[in-house]
Amino acid sequence: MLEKLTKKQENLIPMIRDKWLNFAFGGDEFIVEKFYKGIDFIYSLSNLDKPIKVYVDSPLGMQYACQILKGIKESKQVEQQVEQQVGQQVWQQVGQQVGQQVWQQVWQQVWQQVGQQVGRFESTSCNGLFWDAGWMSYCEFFKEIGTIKLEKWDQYKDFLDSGVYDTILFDKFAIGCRKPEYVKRDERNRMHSEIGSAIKWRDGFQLYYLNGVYLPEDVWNKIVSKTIPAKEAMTLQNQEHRTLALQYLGGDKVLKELKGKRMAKDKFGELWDIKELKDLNGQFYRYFRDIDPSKGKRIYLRTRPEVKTPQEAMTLAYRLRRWSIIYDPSIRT
Amino acid sequence: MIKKYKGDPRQKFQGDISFIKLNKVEIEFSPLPNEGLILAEGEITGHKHLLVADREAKVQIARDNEGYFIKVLEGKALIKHQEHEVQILTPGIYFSGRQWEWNEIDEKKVVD
Repeated sequence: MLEKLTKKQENLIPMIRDKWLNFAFGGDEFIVEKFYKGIDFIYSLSNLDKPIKVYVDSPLGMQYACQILKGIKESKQVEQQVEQQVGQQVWQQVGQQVGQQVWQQVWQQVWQQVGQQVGRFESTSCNGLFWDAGWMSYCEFFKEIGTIKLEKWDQYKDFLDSGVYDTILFDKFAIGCRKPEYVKRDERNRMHSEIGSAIKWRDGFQLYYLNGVYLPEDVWNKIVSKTIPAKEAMTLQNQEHRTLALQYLGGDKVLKELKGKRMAKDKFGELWDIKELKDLNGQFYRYFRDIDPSKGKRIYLRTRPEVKTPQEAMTLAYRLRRWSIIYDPSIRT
Repeated sequence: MIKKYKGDPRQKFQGDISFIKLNKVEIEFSPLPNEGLILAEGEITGHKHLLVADREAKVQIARDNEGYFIKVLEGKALIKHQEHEVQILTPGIYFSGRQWEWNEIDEKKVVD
């Protein structure tokens, strides 16, 4: 029983993690022979005959390929530590933050473009680098230090080494797609780019993200170029989109454009009203405004319309009534 | 930069995090982990408010739905952040909570 990792074994953790991350995010090379061989191996595990194998350049391409193939068919017929540091990190960065988000967007776009006219959207079989890299990296660690033997692991690893991003598997045919050309992320590993798409495949399928939030291209463009009118920004249906838009536009511009008026001031800040715009309850917007002492930038915080003073706004914001006190700081940093 | 007020000495703030000194609280504390504890993480920037014990300080923590309770038994607890000055907590019991932004959708959930 392995009780504690040696220093050498601990050093192996980031090496394995980075190897998988670099491979997943390192371009769209695709080795067709390994993909074919891997698919045959997967089918052999279920005692199925070798299928017809097809590969395309993007997850969207896989859905189109499904529609075409279906048409043809119809016409013819230290476990926790390692798990956290290798498996979870790789899964979070590769699977959760990219794989699942992309899948959602593909689903929406295919449903809009294809599904309604043609038929059913096909679910992924979850065999591919962006589903499997997490647990595979986790297993690789234990394999490397010799605590487990995995007979068929190497064959599945060979399949992933092909650079297959994802697959859709049917009884008689299998469709795979290559990795993205690039994935751009922020310091928290969320998909993010202010200069273009955050993820793009060879066939041109691409998606736009800011701080890990998916945006349609036109909304993304108006936000990063700061050309979205304040009124439109404030009324974006999606709350995350609205927050992003306001963050990029800046509160000062919004207040100016929407004819904001200062309603109260005390030593803790100011209250500003935007009466031109009504929220979902038909109420106007009231904001607390002050300067962040550390950043030197204005901060805006929405507060209840009935709040009378900046001090009251901050008492509510920090929920100080729980302690029967009102906002009266001795120090702010 | 630090902004000082002639206010209530029990109230300290670091960005959107509060540190309210309390007389007592009925909650079970556990030791602060050696690596410290992230009290909050910036939604957009990812910057962290990290609570650590200064040298040999004895610090305990507890949590409820609203935030963290910090008990400094000996020495000092420090709250570090990439953009804000360090906050220092001397012996005592503190509540640390986040700032909440009101909106009409969550109105019913926010109970002050």
